[in-house]
Order: sequence, then C-alpha cells, then structure tokens
Amino acid sequence: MTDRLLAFLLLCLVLGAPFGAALLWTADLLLDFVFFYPLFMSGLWMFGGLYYWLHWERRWAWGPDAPPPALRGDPLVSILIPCHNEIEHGADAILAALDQRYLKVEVIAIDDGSSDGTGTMLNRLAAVHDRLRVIHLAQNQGKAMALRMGALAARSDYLVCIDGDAILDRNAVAYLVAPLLDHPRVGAVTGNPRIRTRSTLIGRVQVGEFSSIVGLIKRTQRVYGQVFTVSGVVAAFRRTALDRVGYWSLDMVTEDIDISWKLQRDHWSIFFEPRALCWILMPETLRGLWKQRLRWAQGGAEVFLKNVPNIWSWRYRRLWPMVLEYCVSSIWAFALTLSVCLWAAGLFMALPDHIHVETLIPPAFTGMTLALACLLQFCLSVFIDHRYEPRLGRSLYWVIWYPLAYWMINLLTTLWSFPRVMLKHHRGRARWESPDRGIKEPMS
Amino acid sequence: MMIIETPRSRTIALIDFLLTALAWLGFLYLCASGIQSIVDDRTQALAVPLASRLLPEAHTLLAYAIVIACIGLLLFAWADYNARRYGGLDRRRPLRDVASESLAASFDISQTQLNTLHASQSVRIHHTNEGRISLLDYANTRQTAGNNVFLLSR
Repeated sequence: MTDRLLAFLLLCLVLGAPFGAALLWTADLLLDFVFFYPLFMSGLWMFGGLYYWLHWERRWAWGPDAPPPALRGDPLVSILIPCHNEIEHGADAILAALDQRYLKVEVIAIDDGSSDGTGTMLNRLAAVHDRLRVIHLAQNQGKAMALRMGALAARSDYLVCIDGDAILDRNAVAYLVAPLLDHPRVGAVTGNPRIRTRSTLIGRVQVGEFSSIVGLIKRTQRVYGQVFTVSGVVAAFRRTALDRVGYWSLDMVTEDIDISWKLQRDHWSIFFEPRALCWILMPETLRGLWKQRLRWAQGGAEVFLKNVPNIWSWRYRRLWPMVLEYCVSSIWAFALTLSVCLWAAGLFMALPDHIHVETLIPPAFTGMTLALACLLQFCLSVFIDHRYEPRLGRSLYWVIWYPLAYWMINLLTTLWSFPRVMLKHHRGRARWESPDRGIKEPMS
Repeated sequence: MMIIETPRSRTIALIDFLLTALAWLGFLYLCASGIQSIVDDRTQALAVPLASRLLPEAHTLLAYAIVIACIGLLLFAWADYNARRYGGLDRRRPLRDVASESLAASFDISQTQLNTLHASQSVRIHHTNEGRISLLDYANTRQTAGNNVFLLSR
C-alpha cells in the first residue's frame, strides 16, 4: 500500500512540477527549461567524453597490432548466451563466442523455451563443439531467469553475458574480464555495442545515436563514478557480486538496469570498456524502434520506483545524482508536453499572460545554439569512436535526425510508460518478445 | 561483413536521402536565420556598428558557454577529487569466488545436483510457476566428465 501511495506521489510530482512552475512563475520559465536542459546535458556529456578520452582512453593501445590484455592466472571464463527463437542468428553468435582469441572459455547457450527449432540447432552445435554447453528451459522463463540458470551452470566465477544475436569481437572477452581480475571491487564491466543493421534511416540514425549519446553518456557516467546501466547486450559480471545481490530480478522488464543498481547499491563498481566490441542487431522500423524504446523507458521507470524509497541513506549518496537526473529528464518530457498543450490551448482561448505560450519554435538564435551543440557532440563522438570503427564518419550525413530520434522518442516513451508504471498494481514476470532485428530482403 | 545493408528499392533509398537533405536544409536555415537575426537586427539603427549589434548575442552565447564550462569543470573536479582521494586504494578486500555450497543454496538445489549440472554438457531445466527449479532432466543429453563425453539415459 505504501509503495502504491509513493508511486502515485511520484507521478503527481513529475506531472505537477512543470504545471506548478508555469503557474507560479511563467510559461517562459518552462520553455527555458525545455531548451536549456538538453543543451546543458549535451555539454556535460561532451566534457565527460573528453575527460574519459584524455585521461584514460587515448593512452590505451588499440588496433590490429595491439595485443589484448593478458588475463592474470588464465582463469576459465563462462560466456552466457540466452536464446529465445534465435534460429536465424544464434549460430553466428555462438561461433563468434567460441572463436575468442582467449581460449579458456566455455560457452553456455540457454534456450529459453524457443518454438522455432533453436533447441535442435544448439544441440547440433554442441555435438561438434566440446566447449559449448546447452541448457534447455522447459518453458519460456524470460531473460533474467535464463541468465540465472547460466550463472548457476557456469564453472567460472567470471561471466560474460551477451544476447543471442550479438557477435563478439575476437578480443572482447579479454577486455571485459581483465578489469574484474585487476580490481577486486569491480562487479561488472559493460562493453561497447556497435550497430550492424544500417539499411534504413532508422538503423543509420541509431549508429550516430549509439556513438554520440550512448557512448558519451557511458563515458561521462564512468567519470562520475556510477553507471545508470550496463549494456544488456554485452557485459561481464563477477559471480560473487551477483550472488551477494541475488542475481537478476525476474520481475523487471529491463534486467540490465536493475542489476546495475543492485550492484552499485552493494558498492560494487561498474566499468565501461570501449575496446570490448560487440556487434548487435537493432530495429530498422519505426514500430520496432518504438517497442524497444518503450521497453527501455518502462524498465527505467520500474527501477526508479523500486529504488526511490530506499536510496536516501547516506551510504547510497553517490547514486543520488543518477536518481535526480532520471527525475529531471522525466520532468523535462512533461514540461515540453505542457508547453505544447498551453500553446495549443492559446490558439482557441485566451490564457492568462503568464502562462501564454506564443510560439513553440525556438527563437532563431537559441535554435541555432541547440542545433550546433548537437552537431558538436556528434563530431566529438566520431573523433573518439572512429578508432573502433574507422568509417564512422560516413554516418555523419544521417545524424541530423538524431536529436529528433533521441529526445523525441525519449519524450514520447516517457509520457507513455512513466504513468503506466506508477499506476501499475503488480509487476508480473518479465518474458521475451521477439524484437525487430533489421529488415529482410524481399523474396523474389 | 559485420555491417548489414539489406538492398532496398531505389525509390525508398532516394526518399531517405532526400528527407535527410531536407533536414540538413532545415538545420542550415536555423543557423542562417540565427546569424541573420543578429546581423540584420531591424531594431538597431544602421549607424550602430556591427560589433555593438553583436554584443548582446555574444553575451548570451558567452553565458551559455560559461554555464557549460562550469558544469564541465565541476565534473573534472569531482573526477580528480576521487582519483586523489581514492586512487590506488582498494576499499573492498578481494572476495573469494562463490563456494559451490553457497551457489547451490542460492538456487535451492543440492550439492550433488550442482555437481551433476556442472559436469553436464546439456540439460533440460523445469521450473515451478514461482520460478524455482523443479527438475533437472539429463535424459538423452550428453554429459562431459573431464575430457570424456558419454550419453546418460535415465
């Protein structure tokens, strides 16, 4: 009951804050916030990315001649690959995992109640590759359960978890596990996902987005010291850390965000390793992108709601800015929506002067500043990231859409999912849905 | 090989290209009209030198830059403080790997079941509705013991 009341209060706060600000002061203040928040966050991410690069990344050897780090003690590493209906891409993911330059690996594929023959395909591969082990879940249990079963079956304490359609770079395991061996307080290391699907505008825009938004945010959060989430598609974990926090939660839509918070609340550090490349498939249709981002937004809201009641202890103070950032970004979505509503209402009725919104188009000068900040952010990310993907500059042409793709989708998914999560009675078990993994060539 | 570019009809590709070109034109328009509004400010008399007309906007830009720089400096200072205060210190003693008894207990299975699971190459796991393991089924699956591979049928 208390939880439900708290969720309702949070919803009132996030919804009411922009409205209260407009009523107490002016709608201009609202518009200022709508404009300044993305601008200053963009500045923060650029400085964060720059610091990370100057302080650490530029000194790291990279390239065909740079050897991957040697893993102290040559430990066995378990690569966990949960698969649900992965008949098309599963074999590629498994073979890439088996093809690591670091040889002391076992690959554990977890078939999570697939209905498309994935189980048979995994058995066939296991008959040929002794280092491949297969777990069949009798019924579809969801990714979190699949990972839990993988962690249970693993013979190693170092777990590299990737999605069933992700292709690991040949040195990725070494890069992911080295920080776990070198730093006892590191509980997880998140890798660097690179997008493979670049056929449509939606696919190409995400290439820029992953570099200029996701890459810079990860670096900035690492500079700050706390990470909002590991990449669910490629991350390594120390099983000791997972065991202390009770492994992945079964009722969270985004198990990756949840486990990141659980680990950091237990004072484990999470590192970002940009050299641990993993090639991933992303949606290439608007519908697929919307479904994916909606799930992310819902997952973020669930983790926020789960953590807000207990995060205010002084012991968790380093997570406070992450809560604040999430809160402000949700308020931003509602502030922009309110501005649009006030502008639209003003077209049909006379509103009091202080809440009247004259126009939604930013004055040319401010619009230019925001647009230039976006472009600068992308140029910086190309500069930092091009060592991992030399032809990244080619996606510069398509990146003009990224402010729309990121901020607008962020806005719409927040509007849709935040109230839903806050008003939800009970979270059930999170199960798989087959995502959009790029478009197919039409059959002739 | 990693990049997937599925062939599409030329018309759709052209539409994508033109739409993006349009977006760039919009962007350039924003920039141009921004500059235009500064240079061609009709409220200012022509007699006023350009530098003076640019000054208020330059001040606004400077204010943006100062705020962003302050945010950046704050982040840098925080990172440096952490590096100096905690750099090289490991506040957490290395913890041992999870003991197999503890691992088995976490998942509510017996030590024997865990050992068998670790020795197996393939297993079918059944769960209860609450998510607890109800059955570890090795029937008709391959097991490894050391380097040996053998079939186990129950």
